Amino acid sequence: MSAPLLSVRDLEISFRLGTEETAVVRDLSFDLGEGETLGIVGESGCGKSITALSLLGLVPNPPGRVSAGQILFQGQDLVGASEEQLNRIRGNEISMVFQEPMTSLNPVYTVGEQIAETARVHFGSSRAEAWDRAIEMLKLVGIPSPEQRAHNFPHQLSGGMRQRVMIAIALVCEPKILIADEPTTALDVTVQAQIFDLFRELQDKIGAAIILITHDIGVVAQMTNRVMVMYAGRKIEEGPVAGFIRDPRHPYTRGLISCIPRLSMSPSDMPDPLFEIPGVVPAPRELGAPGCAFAPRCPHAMQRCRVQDPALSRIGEGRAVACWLEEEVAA
Amino acid sequence: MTLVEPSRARTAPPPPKAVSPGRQVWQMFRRNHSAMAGLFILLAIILISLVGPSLYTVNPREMVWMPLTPPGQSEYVLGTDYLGRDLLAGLINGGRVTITIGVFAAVLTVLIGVTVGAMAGFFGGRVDNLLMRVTEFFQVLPNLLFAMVVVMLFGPTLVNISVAIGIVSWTSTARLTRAEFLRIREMDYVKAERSIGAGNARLIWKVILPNAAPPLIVVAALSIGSAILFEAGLSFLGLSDPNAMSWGRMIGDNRPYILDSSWGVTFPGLAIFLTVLAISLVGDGLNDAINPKLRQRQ
Repeated sequence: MSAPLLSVRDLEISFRLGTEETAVVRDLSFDLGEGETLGIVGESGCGKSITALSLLGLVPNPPGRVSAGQILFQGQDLVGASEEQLNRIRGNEISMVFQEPMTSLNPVYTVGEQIAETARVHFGSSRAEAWDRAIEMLKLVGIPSPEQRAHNFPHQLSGGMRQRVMIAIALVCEPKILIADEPTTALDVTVQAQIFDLFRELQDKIGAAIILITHDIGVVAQMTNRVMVMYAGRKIEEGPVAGFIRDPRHPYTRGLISCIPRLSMSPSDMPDPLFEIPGVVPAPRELGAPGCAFAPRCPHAMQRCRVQDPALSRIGEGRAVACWLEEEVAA
Repeated sequence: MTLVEPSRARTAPPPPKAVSPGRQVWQMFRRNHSAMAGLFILLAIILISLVGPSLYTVNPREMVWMPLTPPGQSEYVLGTDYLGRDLLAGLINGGRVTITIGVFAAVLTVLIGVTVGAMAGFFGGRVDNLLMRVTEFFQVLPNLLFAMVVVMLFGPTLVNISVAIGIVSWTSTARLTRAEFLRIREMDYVKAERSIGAGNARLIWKVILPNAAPPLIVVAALSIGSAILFEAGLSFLGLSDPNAMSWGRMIGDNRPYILDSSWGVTFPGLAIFLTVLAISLVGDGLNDAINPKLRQRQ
């Protein structure tokens, strides 16, 4: 394997809460190869979005900061990079599509101007060139009559179209990495499918690597090559998507997958009414306590889980899991 | 239930015509009668000030008739002042100076206010603290007194008077701008712009400011009115450019003779009143047209 495009090493992100500083993401390491699609899965509040923001140097500071670790993009460490260096990378090399297409477009400019502006900032192209490029991008993301649509203001577009425009803005500079933070959460299911088709199609055309953040296992199964499961700011399982769906190892992952209702389920097999993982994600204040963060909610928790935090251990074929059960099985 | 023909069902509806925000505001503004009346009065006053002096060529500084002639008793319809100068000529020529000072002072007010407010609101923290303390310092100074001191120190020229007015009146604009920036800087689209590589300068001037513009436009329009009143106040106290004829100065000049010739202060006073009223009407109309919450009020 060649050197990865993006390599995150022992990342720690801390937030100041009152006088204390708490790490909300700890010991996070992962790689992203060129053209690869990585899924990051987890419940709300487990650190997915803040990890994504840290890749662009956008952790809100104060109160947050990257307190340890490295984010190596093509060998360059983004953690210590200056604002100018970051601005050259943002939108140009690494782009992001946000959750909320309804509010993520600037209401006072037409969508064409917003796409063109990004091209002008990064390529220094002329107004006319940038405008042509904007229309080309609108066409690429499948917006009908792009010449007219380019003159529309965001409020004149539907949610799905706005998300397409967001994608057009993110891709106008043909970035190497596209981070999509729950890009379809705010859209309805039919539009969701269209957006994902678009992602796949554009990935073929542009060849960008995608980091897809979601809590939808179905989406992960369809879209990604590799999955990383996060819980309470840590990576607890990682592996190729097929193995992950067929044979989840961590009790949390198993829980997530059992939460999906299946068509094949007969009503008598159906759990009552649907499976759910009891309890909630620990609040940031509760992090850092000894033991596995998932132990209070885990059906298999042992004495050891409450005192000692399991380290991530390799279990072959690019898979890794952080759970004491693995050792039990191996022993 | 009838089925839609497949061919028709598939054609996308034509995209809506792009209506620029400016045009939308104008459409709303046009429906507001008092604002339109204000606009016409204002345009008329500006027109008279621009072309009036070349049509009505009486020199406003020259003695042309008996001093203190009441209106309607000579060929000078509005009468004369204590030096026998034609009041109508004074009004026509004074408009230029008054409006120029008003606009120049308002531009200065907005420039200082928006810059200070934008920096404070955008950067927050220590910058905000410092700039807001400076703003408070200017707020607690008595405006008229401070402006008088500035004008007296640097001399009563048109520029100095405008600057003095600008310096004392930017604080509320700064506070409003800061509040808008605090609100808008947390918006998703600001975060999105940052994520595609927008630097601070671009975020401030090209992303946040246009979104903060609506209330600022209204304040800018209204501050022309208050600057004109301020200039009148200064002139009334004798602090006016001796080389320029302004409405405020006419009132100031005629003040000692107010018991003998009420017309000497009434006509320039009316001119100021009309201008400021027209500006206020336009400002209110703009506010109604721009502020979406008030749009349904019609």
